[in-house]
Amino acid sequence: MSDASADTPKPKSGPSRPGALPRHALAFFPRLRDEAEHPTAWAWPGYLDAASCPWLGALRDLYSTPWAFPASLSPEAGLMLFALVRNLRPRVAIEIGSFIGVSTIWMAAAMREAQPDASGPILHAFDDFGPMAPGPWRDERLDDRLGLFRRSLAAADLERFVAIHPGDSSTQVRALHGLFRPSPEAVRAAWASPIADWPGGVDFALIDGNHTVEGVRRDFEAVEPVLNTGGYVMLHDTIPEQCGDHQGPRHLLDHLGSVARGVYERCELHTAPLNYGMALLRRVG
Amino acid sequence: MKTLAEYQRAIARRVWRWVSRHPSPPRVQGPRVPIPRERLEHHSGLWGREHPREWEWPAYLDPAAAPWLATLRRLYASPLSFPASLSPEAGLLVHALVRNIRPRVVVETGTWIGISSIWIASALQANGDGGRLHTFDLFLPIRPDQWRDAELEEDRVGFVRRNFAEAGLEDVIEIHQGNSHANIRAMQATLAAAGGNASGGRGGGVQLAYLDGDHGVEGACQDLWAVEPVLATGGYILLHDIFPEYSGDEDGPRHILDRVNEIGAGVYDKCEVCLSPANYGLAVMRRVG
Repeated sequence: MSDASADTPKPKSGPSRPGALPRHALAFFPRLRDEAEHPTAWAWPGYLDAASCPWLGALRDLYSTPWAFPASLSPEAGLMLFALVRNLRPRVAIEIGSFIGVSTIWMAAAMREAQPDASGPILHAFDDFGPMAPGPWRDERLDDRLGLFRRSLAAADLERFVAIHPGDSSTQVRALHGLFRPSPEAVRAAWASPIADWPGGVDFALIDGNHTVEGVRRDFEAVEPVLNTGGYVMLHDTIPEQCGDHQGPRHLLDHLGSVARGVYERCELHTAPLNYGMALLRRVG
Repeated sequence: MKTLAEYQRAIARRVWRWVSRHPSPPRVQGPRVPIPRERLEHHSGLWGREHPREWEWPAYLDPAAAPWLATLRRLYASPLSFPASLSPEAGLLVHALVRNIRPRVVVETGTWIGISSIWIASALQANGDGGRLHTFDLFLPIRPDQWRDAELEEDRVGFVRRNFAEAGLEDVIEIHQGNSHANIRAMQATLAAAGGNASGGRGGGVQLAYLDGDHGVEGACQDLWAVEPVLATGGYILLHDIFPEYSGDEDGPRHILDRVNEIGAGVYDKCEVCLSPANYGLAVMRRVG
């Protein structure tokens, strides 16, 4: 590895598991050489244009606003999230960190495909919806984030599938534990019957909110008690060297064994075009 | 007479000898007592519903938007596509994974009628960094079975090649006819040398392998062992049909998944993913050691 590591930035945190390879040894993803190569907007893939789909149109409009880059999921990563949710078919899902609603629309559209006649909200979106100051790569400020979020959901025709919970995410999730937590009777009933009605619990959680070590841990600990066995957790921005030095998701991944109550199997994924990284966890114990 | 320090050194030597002869057991993921697979299944699988008889093309994919989508649409309409090909939902997932992982050398075993190849190759083409897909299959004739009245009259290689050309993907895909693991072994040197690129990504072999060929335990392991020596560190393996109770197949992929950190040469992270509409299952594995 020494021959190739000359031009490789050294990661700040070391490997978590004893004997594990350092993260940079695993990467074959092309790296950006200089600022000029850095994209300044997300490119919508042309093959996703379907005239008959309002939610795809709403997404494309959202991607063309000045706020979508770089904090929203890229279209490629969004497509991956959509395809995962579409295949996993969670009955109820949580999203922490809605931002302007890009990931919400990707997830809610996938959940609608599986449960088109759901009677109530099946995706619960948590965010503080505070005003957004200009940042790197983002020149404009946005004060009414909740308004933009609601308008986009309405344009995508997904309002009735999404419950919006503004406020501190971990507090809000904890406050809703009574809604999510399965009662023993409901669980028994669902296992006995061949029709899998929702016995409570959350089947999929996207955690993309507060990116500090403490914030991610709080969100994860708030979700865990209501996460079903066999449920999935997805983390975004897991490669701090690539995504602006947010250490929280990485820290959670590296210390999963000591932080988590359950046992998780995991696979880390790249994201294109900027490799902010995602990780898919599945609770198997 | 020995001094205390000599005693201590002697003890330390014996401890070290014992420790070095008893290496720590391989890292195995999952709980000590694994939870049975059916209890992990949070979605309805097929309970209470009919098994589908054909794959349904989703409304959010417009065949007019790209030539490869039009080809896929046509292939899914053929009775040959069900149930052995990837469902459209699962295909989109594989496509999205390839778009994000951005491999430049991809190996696929089990071409069937080329649906999974088109999903992968279209993503490589959209990535635009010169990725190539090597697809391996015996290309035996297709016979009718319990799910399928139709059979393929013509030569399967020609049929698949024509579809790739129609999808505009013929320069992304290389077709290799014959026994997959023998053919992969034969071109290991080529695969190991490929994969570098100008913008700093390191090469070193196959970066994504989609294994969906022989589903027997022996055959699946042979495919894995043929790919492993040239699989890049950090490279991904996708296994299809990992839930034999749904896919109704032999349990080779399941066997690999349950034992990969014992029978494989590398160390793997893995996550099992349920598929729609029929839960044949896909495993995403990543070589981390």
